[in-house]
Amino acid sequence: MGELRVILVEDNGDDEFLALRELARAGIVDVVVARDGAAAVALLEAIDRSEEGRHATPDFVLLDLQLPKLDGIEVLRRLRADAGTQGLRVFVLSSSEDPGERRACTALGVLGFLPKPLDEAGIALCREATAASR
Amino acid sequence: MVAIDTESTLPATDGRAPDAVEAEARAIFESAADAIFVVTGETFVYCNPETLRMFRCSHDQITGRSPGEFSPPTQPGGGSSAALASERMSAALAGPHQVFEWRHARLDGTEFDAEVSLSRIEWGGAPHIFAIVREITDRKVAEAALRESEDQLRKIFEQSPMAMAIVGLDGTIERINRKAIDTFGYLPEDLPTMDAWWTLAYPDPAYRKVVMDTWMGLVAEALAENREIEGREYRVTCKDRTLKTMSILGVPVAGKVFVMFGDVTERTRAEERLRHLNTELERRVQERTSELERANVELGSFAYSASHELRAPIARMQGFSREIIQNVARGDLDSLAFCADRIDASCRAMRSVIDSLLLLTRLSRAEIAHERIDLSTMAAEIVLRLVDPAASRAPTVTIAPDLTLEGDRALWDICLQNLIENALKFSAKHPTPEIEVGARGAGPSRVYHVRDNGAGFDMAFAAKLFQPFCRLHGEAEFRGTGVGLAIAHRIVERHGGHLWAEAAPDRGATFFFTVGG
Repeated sequence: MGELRVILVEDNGDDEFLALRELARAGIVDVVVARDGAAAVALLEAIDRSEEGRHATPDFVLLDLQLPKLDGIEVLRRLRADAGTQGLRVFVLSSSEDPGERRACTALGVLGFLPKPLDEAGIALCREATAASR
Repeated sequence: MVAIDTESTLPATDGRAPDAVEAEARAIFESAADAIFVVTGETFVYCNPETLRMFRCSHDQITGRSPGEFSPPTQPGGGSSAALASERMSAALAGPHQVFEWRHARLDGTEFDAEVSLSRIEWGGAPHIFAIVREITDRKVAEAALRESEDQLRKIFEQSPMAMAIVGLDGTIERINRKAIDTFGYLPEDLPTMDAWWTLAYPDPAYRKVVMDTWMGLVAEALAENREIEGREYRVTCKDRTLKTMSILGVPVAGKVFVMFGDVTERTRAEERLRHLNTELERRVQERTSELERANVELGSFAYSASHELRAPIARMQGFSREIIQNVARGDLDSLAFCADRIDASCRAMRSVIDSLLLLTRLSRAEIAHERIDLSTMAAEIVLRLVDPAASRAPTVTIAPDLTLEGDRALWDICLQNLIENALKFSAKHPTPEIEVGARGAGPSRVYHVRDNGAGFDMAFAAKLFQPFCRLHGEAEFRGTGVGLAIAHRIVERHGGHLWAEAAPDRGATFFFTVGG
């Protein structure tokens, strides 16, 4: 398995730092960070439309739910509505346990829920689910 | 038989023996229930026993007296008894039969009413007065009682607090009482007949037909079953064109109908109001129920967002603690200070979330004081607390003078501080930040505002603005617990006012608020 390419959508600096450290410890260093929902959607849509689209497409997206401007669920909705991004693997990384949010995420095809702080077990789950869905 | 004039005898009238005729005549007179006597000149010449009994006197007492002496000095209608008696007797002597009522007086002074019949007779060849006197005291009493009773009935009818009319079965309106005139404004001359009533009281022909059919039907039923005319409610048009709801019923009495009108306009209105109130109450209960349901949903989602706000710093502390553990294990101590600092920041963030939550909860229950507040001074003091004038990009703050409002000083201080803090925070990145506190309008519609020229926001997110923990900007961009505007909103609402915002991205934001009356 080659290097995994990840997009992290996270607005909190500390959470970003901690997630990046954990990913790095797991050997994942190809990470692009989007710091709000709108930036995430723009980033993902731009990647898909770029020349090297297929290559640049991330293996998975780690998505926080509490985001300014567009919240995580709205981001998911937009990704699923766009032919180029609807197949993206998305894991929710959140300290929220709102069951309503979870149901909405599941309905939008989220592969898993990871509690913060991100840890080895969370990353292992992402790897397995990603490999299984290839 | 009492012969006053012993010389006198009753005349023979037919072929029988005078003795036999006289005996029969005597028997008639002696057994008569009326006083019968004969007067000549003005003196009694003959009387029967009933005369003595009626006048309560003896034969001797009546002898030589005149009928005028058995009378009070004056008659009830006025005039001297003596003169009137002479008049009557002269008239009777002159020919026509005299029948009249007379007040008699006995020698003991007691009086009684009588009906007197006087006629002229030839007795012993000379003209005499033949008198029949019937005591009518009982009849007079009965007549007086009847008159009084009629008078009372008339008064009851006239002064009744209920509008009433008496209608003949031929449709003539014989009488309407004062209350009926007051109630409808129609005078008796406006309403000679029921036809006039129908036309005036029910000008709309369609409704008139309904009323007439109803009334006639009820009258027919009442007459057939010998009972009262059932009451119904009718909308009567008065002379001044106002409409009154009347409950009308009637009682057929001796070829007439006694009609009674009860004004139920007020009651009908009250019922209408009650119905309206019930509907309104029902609507408000439903509204309140859905408000409660909505509040429940909001409370549920608030609990999740609050728990998230508390979990997030805990997760960070946990993350940085692990970072410390792993770095120490590797012998890397350089990052310890950084990690400890981040843990400390999370602790502070958590503490301020908890403080905000407690404040928000307390706000819902706090007693609201009402005092006059100098908002201009309050704003100036807040700016002094929050702004370091020596800072490189200190904002230009403009506060309109003489801004005042009624309310709770401590709460308005928190509200205004949150709004100003918000304005300072979001204009901080502007090269020349400007903040303005002012107001427009007067009275309860006075609108206060806190304006900045900062980052603003997309109005599409305006609805989320006052939800706790809902941020329109990234935490990295603008720090805060995300509860400040929710608190300001709650404070304005607790004062019965509204708080809203107008903004555009990068063109600043203005927060407006009113204070309820």
